[in-house]
Amino acid sequence: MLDRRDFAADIAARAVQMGADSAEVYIVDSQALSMEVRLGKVETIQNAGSTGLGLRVLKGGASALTSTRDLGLSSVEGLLSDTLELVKVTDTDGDIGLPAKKDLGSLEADLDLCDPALAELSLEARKDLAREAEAAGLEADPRITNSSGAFWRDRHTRITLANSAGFVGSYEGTSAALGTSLIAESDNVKQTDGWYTAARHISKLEAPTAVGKRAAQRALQKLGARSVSPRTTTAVFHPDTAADLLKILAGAASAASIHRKTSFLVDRLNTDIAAPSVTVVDDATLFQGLRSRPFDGEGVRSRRTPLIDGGRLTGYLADAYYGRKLGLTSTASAQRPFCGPPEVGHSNLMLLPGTHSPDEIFKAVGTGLYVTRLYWVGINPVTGDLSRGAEGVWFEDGELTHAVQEITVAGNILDMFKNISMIGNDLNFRSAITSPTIAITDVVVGGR
Amino acid sequence: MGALQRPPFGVETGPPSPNLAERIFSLDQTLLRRLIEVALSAGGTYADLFFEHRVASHLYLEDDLIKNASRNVDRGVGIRVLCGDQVGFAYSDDLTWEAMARAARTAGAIASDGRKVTVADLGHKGILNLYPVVEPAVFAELSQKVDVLQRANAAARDHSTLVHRVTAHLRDEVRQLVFANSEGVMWQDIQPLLRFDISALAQRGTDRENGYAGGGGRYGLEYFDIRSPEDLARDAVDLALLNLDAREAPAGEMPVVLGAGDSGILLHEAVGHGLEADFNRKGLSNYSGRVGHRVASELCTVVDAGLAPGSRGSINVDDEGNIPDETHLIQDGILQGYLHDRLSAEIMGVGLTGNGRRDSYSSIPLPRMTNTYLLPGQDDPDDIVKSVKFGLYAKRFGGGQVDITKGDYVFSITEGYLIEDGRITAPVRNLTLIGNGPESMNHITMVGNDLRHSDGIWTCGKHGQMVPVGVGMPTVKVRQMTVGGTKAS
Repeated sequence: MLDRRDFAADIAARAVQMGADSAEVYIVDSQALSMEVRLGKVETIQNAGSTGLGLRVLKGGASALTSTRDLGLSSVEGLLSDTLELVKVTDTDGDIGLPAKKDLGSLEADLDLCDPALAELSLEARKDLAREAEAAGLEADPRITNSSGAFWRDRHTRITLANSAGFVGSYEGTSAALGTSLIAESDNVKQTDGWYTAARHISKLEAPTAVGKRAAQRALQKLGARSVSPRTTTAVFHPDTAADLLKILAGAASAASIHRKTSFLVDRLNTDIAAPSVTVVDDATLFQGLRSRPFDGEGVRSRRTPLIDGGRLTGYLADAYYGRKLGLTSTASAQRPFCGPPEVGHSNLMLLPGTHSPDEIFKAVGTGLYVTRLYWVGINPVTGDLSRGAEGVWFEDGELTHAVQEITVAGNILDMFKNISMIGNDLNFRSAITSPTIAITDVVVGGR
Repeated sequence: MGALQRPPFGVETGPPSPNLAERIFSLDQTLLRRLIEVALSAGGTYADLFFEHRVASHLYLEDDLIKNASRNVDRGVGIRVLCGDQVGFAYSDDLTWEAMARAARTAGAIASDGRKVTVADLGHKGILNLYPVVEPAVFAELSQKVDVLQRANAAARDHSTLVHRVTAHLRDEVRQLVFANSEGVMWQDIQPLLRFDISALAQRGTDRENGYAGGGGRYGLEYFDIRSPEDLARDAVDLALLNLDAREAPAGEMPVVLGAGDSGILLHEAVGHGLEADFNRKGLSNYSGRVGHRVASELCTVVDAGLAPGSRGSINVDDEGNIPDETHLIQDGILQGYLHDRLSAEIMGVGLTGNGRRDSYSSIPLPRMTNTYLLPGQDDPDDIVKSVKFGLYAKRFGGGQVDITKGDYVFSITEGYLIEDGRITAPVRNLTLIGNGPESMNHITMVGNDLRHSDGIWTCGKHGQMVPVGVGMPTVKVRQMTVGGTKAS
């Protein structure tokens, strides 16, 4: 088979020959395996490889994109002529184009994204990991009465990108995840929760027994839940729910949202938007990071972008197009599937850790709500007003007292970032957006 | 060949002719049967093949300009082997015999019982004809689609001088499907889908609010004869303007009147998911083991039926070859049964409901909803509002989410009003409704005679698989619900 890099570069060159001003070819090859085990028995195994090619053509300040899974010669020829037809209907916009030539390039540093040990792992070994995680959770406590199952997933992906400005790059990455979800039961009420671990390298995954025990502990923690009366209180956010708040920030810091004025961060650049202890970075160069990569979806060399530095908003996330709209350079934040145009998105986005252990935070806060789950609905991105369903645990004198459900937490996200009073030291890297435990004062809790 | 014309294989309209397999996938029945035999060569009790050819297009307008046009062609085959209740699955986007046979063997690896199932001769199965589209939008002249976006944009800008930004999307697709299984069942379907979305940002002083409207279904561009782009655009602008004037919402428990139409999402989340049989056969749902029990007020009859012509959630046949039924999940408040796919029906020993659906050839079927709605009752919608002294009227929703096991749900409201002394008064913003599904269903005290189905905008996600669905609801009064506003009370 023709080398993917040459193949991609040839197609981009062909598009220019056929009349495009410039062109970009993005190819994704992936092999993915997933399995589900429940009560010790394998329920499903899914295993498949796939390939997709996307072609973006730019002409006269307009852009069009087509994609296919058929990389045969006649299919690609059809794709070329189709795309050049399609680009005729789009309007001219002077800011549309490939990234500036000086920004194109591939990071030299070794990000260590690929784990050769994954290919060596037998199907049986993967089943055992999932079985082990589930069994550890089921055995953890007699009140764990059922299991939604355990999963193992892994993936090996190769990205190839070439454009007519001379950029050609490719990289490979692996990832694996293991998790389980369990049912705890008391007084005829069932509660469910789970835990998972994910990493580029299998050696960096949490041990299956640790995953199972943590899942069990989380489900048990929800037993006896009740609502609380409406009040304003200090809330301690578990790293997962703190990350949910960061996710809102990531969307608002996108140059596309700023340009569309659908962001609460419009006109806030270089102003204080968070407590002075808050520093948030987007880092696509993180060693073994789940979203690390040598270049972004447009071939821009990866970098580390500080978004909030000491409470001050220092930057937006931009791709080439929305960067131009705002007069900013691309922050290498173009994300794309092979079948869609680049969009602004985060890489490894994290709130940098502080010095307090979670225990110290509970002790220092004394009484309040420990927020362990935020439902995803309920944010107005234009104003930053937030009212989200939540679950958690009430705590008093630094000790967890009872589980809480059927509540909302509300406030304006900017106020919430300003009210961050403590930051934990427990940053983990099992997801692309990550935060340590944080405490926020004056959170409005709705309940009954 | 240009992308803008019909592809050479054409598209069947009306009842499909019996040769999609050959025309699109170059497969004859002998080959299909051989592939099933390969899948079952190591054993197993059942196998099926799901061939899909999908053409999708997307036009995007922003800043008065058509910013992007895209067109995607996807195709492949998903091969599933069952060995009792175990599922082996593989797919291939390469449709050469070697690649398909490899995928069949991979899927078959789940089974090692060495059992020999005889693969039946394939025969075509008749299916419904709920969406006879004259011309799928994917193959319409591009200029017609550009026109839709530009008309909407102009109407939004004309509607109010406060409109600052307009973004609009027109997405359409045609899926051509061929299915064959080891029991000899073979069918094919052509599924069109169109969705239009528009967002308008209104600004007054430094206050900004976004308004959204959308619609669509299993239509071509004739959808816009039902609802014009201008109408949708004005709808989005009106909502943005309304929210500029809205007050902060109160928090706490109060009676809530759910408006007809979009409120069906409440039913979808709070009830529907908990009734999907995969959760129930494993005892994971709050509805597990509750058939025959009261799970809602006696005013409630909840139905799932993929049968409404043109609806986003309708299907001529489910993705496993079963004709969708009008399934009464809850009758007069009593739980009747669950939504099934093949596997769950077999394991639970009950009849099929035609709810086996999948995102694409690269995913396995799961029990999924189609169009889910509450049957109308006796009450006049005006009387329902009049019966509330102080409460909330919820008209449009941004989305919802549910915890299947306990039944707790959350919804965000994008259009809501206070009810004061039996009258709808001030608009309120940033509202969230939270509660427990069965509890809220038991708190339904009035059901309107005005059942309405939401326009075609809803997509349901489960285990990472997205499928289009429909929801419907008459005006309903819930005696008490927890409202989470931004204002502490």
